[in-house]
Amino acid sequence: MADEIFDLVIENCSFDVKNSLSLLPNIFKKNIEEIRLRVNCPLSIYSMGRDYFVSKDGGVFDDPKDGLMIDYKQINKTFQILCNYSIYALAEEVKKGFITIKGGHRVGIGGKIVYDNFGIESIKNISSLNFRIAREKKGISNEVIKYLLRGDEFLNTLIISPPQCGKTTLLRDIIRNLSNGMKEHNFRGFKIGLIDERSEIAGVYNGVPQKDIGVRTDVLDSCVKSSGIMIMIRAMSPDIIAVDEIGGSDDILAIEDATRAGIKLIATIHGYSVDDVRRRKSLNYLFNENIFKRYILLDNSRGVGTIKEILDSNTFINLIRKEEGV
Amino acid sequence: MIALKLSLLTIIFVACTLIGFFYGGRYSKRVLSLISLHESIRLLETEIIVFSNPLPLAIENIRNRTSAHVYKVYERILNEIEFDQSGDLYNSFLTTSDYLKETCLLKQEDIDVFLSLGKIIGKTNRKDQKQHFKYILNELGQLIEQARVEKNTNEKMYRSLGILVGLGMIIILI
Repeated sequence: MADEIFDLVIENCSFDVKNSLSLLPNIFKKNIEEIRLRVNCPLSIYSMGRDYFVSKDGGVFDDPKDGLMIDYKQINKTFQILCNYSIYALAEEVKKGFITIKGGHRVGIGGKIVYDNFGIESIKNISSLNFRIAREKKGISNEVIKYLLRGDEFLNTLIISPPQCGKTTLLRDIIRNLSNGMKEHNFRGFKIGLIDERSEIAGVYNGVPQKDIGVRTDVLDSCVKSSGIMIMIRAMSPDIIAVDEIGGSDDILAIEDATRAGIKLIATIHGYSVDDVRRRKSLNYLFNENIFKRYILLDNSRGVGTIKEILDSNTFINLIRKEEGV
Repeated sequence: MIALKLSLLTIIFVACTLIGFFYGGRYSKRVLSLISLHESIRLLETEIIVFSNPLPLAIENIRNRTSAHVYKVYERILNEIEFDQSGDLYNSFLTTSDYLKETCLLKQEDIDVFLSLGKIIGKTNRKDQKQHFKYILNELGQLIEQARVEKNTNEKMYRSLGILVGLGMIIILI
């Protein structure tokens, strides 16, 4: 399955790059998280927690000198294939700096930003592309859900994690479980309103979610979180609103409105600890009003997506350790 | 003997006339091909600027709507896009070059304008694409006018020449 995902992703690369990546050892293919193409730099991948350079014949090296050099032409050709030769059709996505491809994977774009009177008009002279391979890990939240429920009530939850520790993957699986329901926890499933600003959670491609986000989930794709929350409140009457990477003051205002409307929340945020997040001024409201009842903290200590702690917001007791009797 | 001679003379006359018509007809065919190409590019512009359809879909729609003259041009481009995956659309356009020359009877200058579309199509935002289309349609419009003038001058001339050469040969042979 992992190879199928990998093969689907490299279909979007120019011939030389595709050829080189197709020869990678299977272990790297299965664990690959990123493929990076930078102009006049060697082809690199991020797999198993670190980056490597890939040679023309698929060899994996630490030394950049051994990597396949990527030139402007290769980046340009890859970009054309990514856009299906139709940059005009993806102009809005390109403006945001990424494109979502089939399978729900995201490709970040670096280059020269062109502004017009209304803001960013486009990106030209593309100089780097970053394929972020979205891994769907079904079942990773099965053991987490019980900590997020009180009876049949869902408790507002904030997932705190440094980058690349699997917070989006965990959020997606929690959404799937909350949406589908879990007999073992005696709930049928909640109506979820997912605001997927960066098309990472549902991976919507041509209007169709590429990831399993459950049967009771409505998605607002590529929608700014703050306005998305308001749309969901007014139009979709969700039980729970799910958002990725909150932090802006507009997001907090929208969350305030959602909680006032009695809607539950699950969100993620970049951070290393509750204290780290609490120090941010824009988030004062969330902590002063004790909006989130559960904090899930992730790290990389035992591999990507290690759940370090699940904290109760009142007692700050780690619920996992408490259950284990530590 | 006379009957044989008459038949031979008739064959010579008909052959010369047909050759004249054939050469004259090439000018008409060029005009028709250019008009079809112009029309198809106008439709392609609509597909891209108005509907914002991805290029493969836009070309498929054009192929299905365009006249028989240029149907195969778009079919070839579409096949190339599907199977080549080189990342360079210009390569797909290049494959139509021989067909445009030999079947559509276009001149190299006509073909160059069409191929220039392959260099820019899909590579910029809609605003810029609109400008490119405007330029290419304008260029093709001018070529159509030139082709019409050539057709009016040369088509009649070649046809008359065919008939006259036929008659001349009959006179000589008689």
